[in-house]
Amino acid sequence: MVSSLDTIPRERVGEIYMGWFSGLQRKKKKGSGAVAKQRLKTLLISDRADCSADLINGIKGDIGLTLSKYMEVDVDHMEVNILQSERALRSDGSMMLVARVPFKEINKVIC
Amino acid sequence: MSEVIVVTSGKGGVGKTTSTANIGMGLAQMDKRVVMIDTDIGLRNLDVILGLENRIIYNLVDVVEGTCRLKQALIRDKRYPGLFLLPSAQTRDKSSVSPEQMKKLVEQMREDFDYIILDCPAGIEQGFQNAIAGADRALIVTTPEVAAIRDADRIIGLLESQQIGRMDLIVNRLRFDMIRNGEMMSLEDIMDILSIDLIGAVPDDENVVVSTNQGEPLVGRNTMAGQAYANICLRLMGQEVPLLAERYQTGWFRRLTRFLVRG
Repeated sequence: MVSSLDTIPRERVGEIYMGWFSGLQRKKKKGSGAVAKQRLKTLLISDRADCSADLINGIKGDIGLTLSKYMEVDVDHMEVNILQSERALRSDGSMMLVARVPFKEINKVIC
Repeated sequence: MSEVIVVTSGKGGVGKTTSTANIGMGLAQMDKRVVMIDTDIGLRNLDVILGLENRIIYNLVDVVEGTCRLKQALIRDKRYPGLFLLPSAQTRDKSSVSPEQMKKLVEQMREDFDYIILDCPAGIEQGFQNAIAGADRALIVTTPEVAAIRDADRIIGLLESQQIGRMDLIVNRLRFDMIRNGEMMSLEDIMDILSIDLIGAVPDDENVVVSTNQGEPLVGRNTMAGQAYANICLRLMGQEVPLLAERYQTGWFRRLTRFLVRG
């Protein structure tokens, strides 16, 4: 191996080690189990509604945009879900869109 | 009162047939009269898992077509009184039987058995429609993998639209060491996504491979999977049994019980 620590400027060595270290930490925080769960959630929304993930993301974006006129919405933690029939307590077999929108503050100027 | 239970999953290879064999035999151990019906026409497997493959004379299609009487096709499992298998046909295809015929057959069996357990083929085509036609309730088998859970969700949707009486989930092949390390979805994660009742959690247990090699289901035996299947049977009979999985959540306890159970 030609590239060893000698060829890297001294002041960058710490940086590289830190990057490697935080990479390890991040990996421990979110294992592949959590990745699988997140992927499934997105997948099942489009499966259940028989539409593309893009469409759901569009709905999600628009809801966030509309609500952000009135409140400070935490867009990163917004969840949009589609539930089917019995599990959503709908006896007619129709589906239901459920949005969970965390927000920090209501904008009092407009209200 | 008899109950007709279909064991289904959508995805193949998650443990439907193994679960059917173990639950069927487990209920028979508890002095119930049980018949297991293999509805996977063309790819029969339940006979092999049960070690009854050499005793087949007539099959499901023969009964439906009237080639033989029902009693002639039923194989009595000599290990337990009251345990029977109706094998599937290996050289026919799924269209040999219709959902109406299956419904009629199952109704005919109700008076002779406490539990009629249908082993469903993978997929959502006619074989699936045949298997669920006469069922009162469904056991949905899945594993902690994205593809298996996705298919389970699809099956749940289909069963709901068919208005089946009740649905319960069996999560198979759980690895508690991986769950602790965050590298496998936990039971809570799966329940959160599928939101149906859980009736059993079966640990990934190498004894299952040994038992299928031998054609001897391991239900009730002193192994992790054997205990898990026995608990599922008790829950099917209406008893409340705590989840075996809860005991394995902590590392040292699991190692200790594994050590003790091994003998």
